[in-house]
Amino acid sequence: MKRRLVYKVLSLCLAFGVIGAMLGSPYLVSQQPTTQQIAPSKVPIVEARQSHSKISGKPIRITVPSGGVDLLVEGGSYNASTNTWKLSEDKAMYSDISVLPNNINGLTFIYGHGTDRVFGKIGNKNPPRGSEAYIYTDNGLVFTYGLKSVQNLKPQDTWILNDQQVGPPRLIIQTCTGLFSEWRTIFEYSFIKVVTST
Amino acid sequence: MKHVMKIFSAAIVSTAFIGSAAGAVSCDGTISLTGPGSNNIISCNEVNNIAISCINDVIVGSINTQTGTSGDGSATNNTNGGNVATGTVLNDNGQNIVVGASCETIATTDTDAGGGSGAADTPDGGQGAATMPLELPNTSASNIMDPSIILAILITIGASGVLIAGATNRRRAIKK
Repeated sequence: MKRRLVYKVLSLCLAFGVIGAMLGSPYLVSQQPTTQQIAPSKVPIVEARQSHSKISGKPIRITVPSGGVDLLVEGGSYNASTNTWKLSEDKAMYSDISVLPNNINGLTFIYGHGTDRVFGKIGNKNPPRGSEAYIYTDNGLVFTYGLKSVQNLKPQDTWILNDQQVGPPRLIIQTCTGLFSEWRTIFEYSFIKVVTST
Repeated sequence: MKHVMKIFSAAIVSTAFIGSAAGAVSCDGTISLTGPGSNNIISCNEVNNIAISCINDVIVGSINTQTGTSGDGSATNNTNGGNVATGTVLNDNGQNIVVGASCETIATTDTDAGGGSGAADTPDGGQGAATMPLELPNTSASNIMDPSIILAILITIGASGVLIAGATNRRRAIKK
C-alpha cells in the first residue's frame, strides 16, 4: 500500500511538472508578449526630408515599438547552393538582395527568428494596423513605416520577393510562426517618411 | 513658377569613306645576271581595298523642371498705408552638354551591364543579378534548442518511465 501511495504521489508530481514545463515553453504554447513598449531612442530630429531625390542608407537597427522589438540589424544573404539564409540568434537580418531603405522605390526585406529575442513577440501578437516601425541607417537616417498588412505564407511563396526594385518604397518583416513554425508571417509596411538624426 | 523645359537633341550621323584606294605599291625584286641574252621580269600586282563605314547616332534629351513659390504677404493695422512685398523667386538652371563623335576605334569594356558606354546602374542592393531564393527564410524558432524544451522532454521521459515501472510493479504485486 505504501509503495502504491508513493507511486501515485510521484506520478502526480511528475505529471504536474510536465504540464508546467510545457506551459512554460514559449514554443508549445504561445507566450503572451510583454506589453512593455520600447520607444525609439530619442534622437533629435534636425531636418525632415521630403525630397524627390533618393535618400537611402544601410540598416543597422530596427524597432517596432508596438511589438516590443528593438534589434540590431546585420546583413543577411541567401545561399543558392544550400538553399539557406543567413540567420542570427539575436539580430534581425537585412536581405542583401533587397533594396536599401529609401524614399523612392523598392522592397526592403528584413527577417529574423521567431524567438522572443528577435521577432517572436510580433509573431505571437501582431502589432495593430497602422502601427509604426523604424529603421535606423548607418548614415544617420531614420525611416518610418506604417503597418499595412499581415499574412501567413508558405515557405515556397517567394513571389513576395519578386519585383523588389520596383513599386513604392516599402518594408517587409518576415518571421516564422505556427506550432511547427510552418508559416512565414509577412508584415508589410508602407513608407511614411525619413528624417535625419544627429 | 518658372518652368524650363529644354530638350536638346543632336543627331550626328556620319557615313563616310566607302570606296577603294590603291595603296602605295611596294614590290621588292632583284635583277641579276643582266646582259646579253638575259631576260629579267619582275611582276608586281598589289590591290588594297578598304571599306570603312562609320555611323554615330547621338541623341541627347534633357528636361529640367523648376518650381518656386514666394511667400504670402499680409498686412494689418495699415491705416496709414505701406507696402507689402512678397519674396522674390529666383530659379537658376544651368546645363552643359558635351557631345562627341568619332570614327576611331572605341575602347569598350566587357561588362554585364553592357552598352559599351555609360555607367551601369546597379540596384541598391549592390548586386546586379541576384539569385531568386527557392524558399523564404526559415526563421523557425525550433532551430534554437531552448532549455525549457529540453527540460520538458526530459521530464516527460522520466515521468513515462516511472509510470511504466509503477504499473509493472503493481501487476507483479497483484500476481503475487
